[in-house]
Amino acid sequence: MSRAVAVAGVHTLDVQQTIWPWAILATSFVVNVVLWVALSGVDGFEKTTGGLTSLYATALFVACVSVARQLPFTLGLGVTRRAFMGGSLLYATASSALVGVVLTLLNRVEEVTDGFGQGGRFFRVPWLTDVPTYQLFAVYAVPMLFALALGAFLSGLYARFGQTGVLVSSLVGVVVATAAVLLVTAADGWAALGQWFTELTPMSLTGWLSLLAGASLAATYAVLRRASV
Amino acid sequence: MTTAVRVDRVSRRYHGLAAVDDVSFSLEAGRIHGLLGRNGAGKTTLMRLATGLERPSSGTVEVFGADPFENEDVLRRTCFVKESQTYPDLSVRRVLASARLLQPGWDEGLAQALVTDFDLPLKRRVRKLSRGMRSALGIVIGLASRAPLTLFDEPYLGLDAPSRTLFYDRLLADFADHPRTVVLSTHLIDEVADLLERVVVVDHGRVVIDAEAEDVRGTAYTVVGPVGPVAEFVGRREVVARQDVGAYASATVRGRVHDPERRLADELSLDLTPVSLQELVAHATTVRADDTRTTQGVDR
Repeated sequence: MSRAVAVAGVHTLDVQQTIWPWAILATSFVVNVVLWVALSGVDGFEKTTGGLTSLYATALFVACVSVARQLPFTLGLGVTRRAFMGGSLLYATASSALVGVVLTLLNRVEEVTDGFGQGGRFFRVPWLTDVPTYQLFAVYAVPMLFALALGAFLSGLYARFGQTGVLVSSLVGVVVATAAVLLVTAADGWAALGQWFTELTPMSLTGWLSLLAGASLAATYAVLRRASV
Repeated sequence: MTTAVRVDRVSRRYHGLAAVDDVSFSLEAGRIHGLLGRNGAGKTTLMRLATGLERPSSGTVEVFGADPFENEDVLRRTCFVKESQTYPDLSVRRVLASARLLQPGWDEGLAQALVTDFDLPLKRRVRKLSRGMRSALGIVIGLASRAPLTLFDEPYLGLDAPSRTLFYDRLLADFADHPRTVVLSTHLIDEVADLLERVVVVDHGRVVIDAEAEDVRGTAYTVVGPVGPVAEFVGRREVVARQDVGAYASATVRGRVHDPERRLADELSLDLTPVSLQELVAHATTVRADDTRTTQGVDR
């Protein structure tokens, strides 16, 4: 356990990991506010944006890079793969919790100031964050955990199987997706699937994402156990 | 003497090629060991096996009496400094802080002294360091960790001769105060010859020499002089290598120099010189290289 805590500490020393997603988000936010102000007179201009995804996309990228450079470094210094996973999970959970808290606060600020005086919606993503305040934390935090877990998995895949491995996995992914589409068609299930999507609530989507995050983490551990560093 | 590393009938194959082929040896705790051999001989693979980065295809590896793979108790007592170590892209200061978190025996005072010795810029990012500075960073981490088992795999890439000497001096000085098991893999054998207490020489994935450095040093000598007397001296002694230059000859003879050899050499006015560890290893590994064998070393 103490080894995992030490690994989490090493992650926090790698400050870029923490700073990058927030820096990109801040840039995106500033650009959006400038647009709101500049285009405020234009008819039909909706002051909504998908800018919040920049945080999660950057986190995914950061997780990729982090595994690639921290894994060989920490393993050379006597860390087990298990401790590396444990420590990284600890760090990822803390990062996600931070995202949950900060974005919930910013959501409230945006609400109270009526979109920062511009009537814009940056943190209040339509549909996704139209939930009771106590659910906001999960709605913001879980996608972060998912992004980090997915990034770690992709990087682990590369460490374990190399370039061809990532290519083959992508191909397998395409084949599986195609098979799924054919299967749904064959079972005449598109209507049911559409129904499922319309019945999806922000919280049930968050639930599904947390399951995917868990699966990603398990898969990451499976590939890292045998990865050559 | 307790055993720090025990390798028992270990093979490690990559796609059918044996990087390490049925190797057995033990390293005693509290000594400086040399793991020597040519490039691709299997040195790095052996070190990776000892630090749990690899698992053997067959055989057993034990470190401090247990399998090192995923073994927290064993691995927290090891530090492995690799030739081309990947570092997180941080400042030197932060990389050292990271190592400090992971190494229970870390000595911050020593780390700072070494940073000064090697003139490492604390604020510079690792990516911006020269090859030699990056090697120096590895050396600082390896020494300041004071890990009970410390492995250096060709840690001097890009380091100039004075810096290498500095490394050997600091290693020896700190080792004297804080004995631990050190494994040094290198092909600059002459430079470290005086440091090593025991040597394991590998070639094509097999151990060809496993002995006290002192004993290895005395196992051959060179006799130089006119062709006739050299031939007379050599007689039935086993010659490892021989070179004739005009009327003069130089023969490398296996065995130790005792009184009879000394007397005979005096009578014939021949020079006897000990063969350096480097030359001995070269002989041991080139002779083996001439053998026909099915397994090839794999450089990992």
